[in-house]
Amino acid sequence: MRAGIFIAGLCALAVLETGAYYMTQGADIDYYKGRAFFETANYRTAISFFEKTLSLEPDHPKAMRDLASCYKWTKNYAKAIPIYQGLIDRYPNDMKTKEDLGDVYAWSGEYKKAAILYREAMAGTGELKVWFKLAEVYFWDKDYPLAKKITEGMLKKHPNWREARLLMAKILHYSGDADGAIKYYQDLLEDKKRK
Amino acid sequence: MISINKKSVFAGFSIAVSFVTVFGGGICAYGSAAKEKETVQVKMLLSEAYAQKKDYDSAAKGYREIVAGDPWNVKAREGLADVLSYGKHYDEAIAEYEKMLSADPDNLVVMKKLAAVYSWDKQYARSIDIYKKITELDPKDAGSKALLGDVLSWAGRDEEAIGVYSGILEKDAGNMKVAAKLAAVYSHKKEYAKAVRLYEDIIKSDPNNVAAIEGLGDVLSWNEKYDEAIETYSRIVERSPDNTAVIKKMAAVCSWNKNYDKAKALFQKILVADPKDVNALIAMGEICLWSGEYSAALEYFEKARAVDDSLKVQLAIAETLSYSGRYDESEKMFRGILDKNPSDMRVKTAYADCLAYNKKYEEAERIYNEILTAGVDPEVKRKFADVLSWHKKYRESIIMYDELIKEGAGETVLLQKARVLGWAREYEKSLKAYDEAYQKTKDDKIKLEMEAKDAYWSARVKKAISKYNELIKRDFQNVEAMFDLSQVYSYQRMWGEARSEYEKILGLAPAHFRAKEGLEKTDLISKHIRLDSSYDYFESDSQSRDSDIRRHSAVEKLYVPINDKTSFEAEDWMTERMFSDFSDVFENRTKLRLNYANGPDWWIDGMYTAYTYSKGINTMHNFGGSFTFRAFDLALFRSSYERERLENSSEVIRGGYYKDTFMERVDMDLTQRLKLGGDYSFSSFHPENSRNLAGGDVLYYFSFDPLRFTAKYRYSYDEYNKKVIEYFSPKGFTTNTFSFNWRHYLNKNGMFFGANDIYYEAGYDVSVDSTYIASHRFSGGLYWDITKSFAVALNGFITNSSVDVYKERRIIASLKYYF
Repeated sequence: MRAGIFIAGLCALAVLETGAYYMTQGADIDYYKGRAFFETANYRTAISFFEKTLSLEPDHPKAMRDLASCYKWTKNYAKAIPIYQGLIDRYPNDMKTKEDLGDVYAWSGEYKKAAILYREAMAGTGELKVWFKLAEVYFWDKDYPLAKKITEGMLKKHPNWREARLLMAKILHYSGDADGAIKYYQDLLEDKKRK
Repeated sequence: MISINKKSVFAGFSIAVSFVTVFGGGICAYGSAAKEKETVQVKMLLSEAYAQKKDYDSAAKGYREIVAGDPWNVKAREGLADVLSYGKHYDEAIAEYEKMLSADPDNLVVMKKLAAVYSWDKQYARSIDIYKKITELDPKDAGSKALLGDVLSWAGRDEEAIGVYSGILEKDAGNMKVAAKLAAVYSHKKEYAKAVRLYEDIIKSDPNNVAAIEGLGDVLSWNEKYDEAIETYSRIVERSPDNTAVIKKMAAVCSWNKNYDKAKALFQKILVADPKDVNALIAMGEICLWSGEYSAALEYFEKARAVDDSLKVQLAIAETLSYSGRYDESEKMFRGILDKNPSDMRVKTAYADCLAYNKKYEEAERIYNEILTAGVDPEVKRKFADVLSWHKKYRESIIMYDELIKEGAGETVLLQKARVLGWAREYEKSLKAYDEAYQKTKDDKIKLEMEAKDAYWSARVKKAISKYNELIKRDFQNVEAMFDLSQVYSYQRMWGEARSEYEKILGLAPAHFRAKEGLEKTDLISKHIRLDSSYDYFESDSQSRDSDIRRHSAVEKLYVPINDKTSFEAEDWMTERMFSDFSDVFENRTKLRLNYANGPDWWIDGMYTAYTYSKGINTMHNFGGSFTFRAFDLALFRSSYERERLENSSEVIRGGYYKDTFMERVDMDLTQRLKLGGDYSFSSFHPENSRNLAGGDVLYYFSFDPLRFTAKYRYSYDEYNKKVIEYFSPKGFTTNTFSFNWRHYLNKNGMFFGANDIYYEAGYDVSVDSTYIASHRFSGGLYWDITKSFAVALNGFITNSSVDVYKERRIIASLKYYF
């Protein structure tokens, strides 16, 4: 009998705990569900969970970032931008978010805005990847002299950086210096043969 | 407890190895594929870069490598076909595109490219077929329809092109690009009004459509509406002052419109922006050349040469040197150019032109002949004919012009033939040729030139002046008209006008040697003092007609021009007279004359003569004057009065006999060959007697200079009031005279005012008077302008009559010198 009461008590406690958990941790639950979908690139489903998370906890930073990322990957830039911007306003030193917002601007063709963000992110982190993105965004913006200058800087430090050499070749190519570009392209191909 | 046996261990190991092999290999394969992809990307970019620098062969090589590695790489294959087409390897490009189409027959992108390549390869029919297929597959593709229209127009199928463009415009009236294309086809078809209307519609709907405004300007300029074209272009230039392409067009139109100042200002603007713009420099040089500014033209061509030492610029320099009379430099340069381009007919022709301008006609003719032997070129043949005419080989020249006319030559040749016939003094044929040229071309300027020439040759001086001036006003570069006019002015002694005309000619054609010589002669006559110095022997002997003259005279005559209209003459005759009934007498005659010419309308002069003698004979003072005017542009009327001494014998000289003669004479030029004259004079004699003399003459030119042969008949009636013994004073005395004159000019450079004349002449006159006395006069003369300012002449005649009633001898040797 006592054993039965104990078990019944435990069950009641479990139900209570579960209820309490769902009542207090609903936002996280939805976030992680969304996250699971996000990681499998099922952005539309992920978005619905992140939105649920944010409806429960509007300041959920991870959900905000991942929701913005979902919008970014689904090319819904107009929705991604205010979310990233909100995060940056709240966390001005979050260089990753700046880089992400830079990506959104870059992909949506607003190269100048992207460049500002990449510059800030690079000043904060000094990451090569951001440096490259900055050069690339100037290239897309057809600001070939600046793109070239930045790429030259990268190549000075990392002369064998293949992506940077290819970018440099493209910069020269599209800025009309076909001879310079050909030299880089040939070097890249020779390099490949040597390897 | 889990038991582990060997089998299990082996199985586990096998699974692990398989996993590592498959998964790791997969990763490696993935990595290798990515690298290969990047290599292909770099190769593609490398080929693009080669294409960018127009090294299409290297680009093609790159694409071929990619295609060899991956025959299904459509992008590389397309790139290959593209660069083959850019490199004008149209056959290979077409083959590549065709291969792509065989794999994907409805690939519109490839079809469009293939159609384009066919059109570039001028295989318009194939291109048209493909464009038609494209438009069938995609009826909404207005771009391809427009391209179909383009190819149809390039293929000369203008009507179909118009149909295609119109079809597009029916569905899309606002398609201004197509409207512009349609306008271009209309302008190509010379349906300028339709083209203009279309362009105006485009501009109305889009006032900022620069291409349409430019197109409108182009059409207007082709339609020779130069002012409107300039105005249209200026609309663009006002908005975009840096639009050099349009400024160049505007400048070119200004130069066609002969508005050289504006054209120069516009090209100057281009040169301010880019001082090394070769085309602008050449255009400036050409304009300066056309407007006769040879030094400036040379300067521009030299600048152009500094930027681009092309054959075109070198030729321009050599030709300018030739036009500006710097023949030696020009010939040297031409020889240099010919050494480098020995078979270039354009250079050879220009060299022959230069030789012709330098009067090296034989050499020029030889080169033209060489060129024509190599192949028929109507332009060279025309030049050859021109040079033959300058070489006075008029007959050969006319034959060549006739050939050219038969071959369909245009206005220039028709006009030149008429001119050359005029130079050959084949006036009637020339006028006929002018009329033929006018009938064929309906060019009013030709008609005007014909009328001017007719008036000039028929001595309708005022009409000729008026017609030539009108013609020059309309065609201000008509050097032929200017030269004729300068000749009229010169022969009418209108020095100011003549000088101005010569200067105009030399401004346009500095190498015009006739104008140069005419101007030199005009200046000599109108600005320099001239001395005529001569020896004159005259003998007249007649017992029955009271004539006893034998004199030797040394004559000095000074001619002093005061201005272009006024001149003064002073003459001094030192004469020794020998009479049969009186001892020798020395006589000094001083004559002063003032002339005023208001050519071609009227002339007036007044003179005074003083005779002083030795042997106590009284001095005599004579005077007189005349007034000549042109009436109805047909005849010259001359009224004169002169007190003249009688000098037929010692008795009349010693007695101071003189007569006051009032005379009227009219000279009419009926036609180019036929001239009429008539005169009447009344003389009052001292001592008292009077005389009425009336005469009429007719002159006919059987041939014109330089082989002039004329015949003249004159009838005169002479009636004295009373017969006296001191001088021959018959009553009712008539004379019929037939004269024949032959003059042969041997001038080197042709016959014109200012030429250094050299000729001989011979004449024979036979007269029969009312007393049936016949006289025969044989005359001869030589004249030679040794230089412009120095000439010599020798003239004389002998007259004998039947039954020795009278005889006359005269010889005059003279020289003329301008200080």
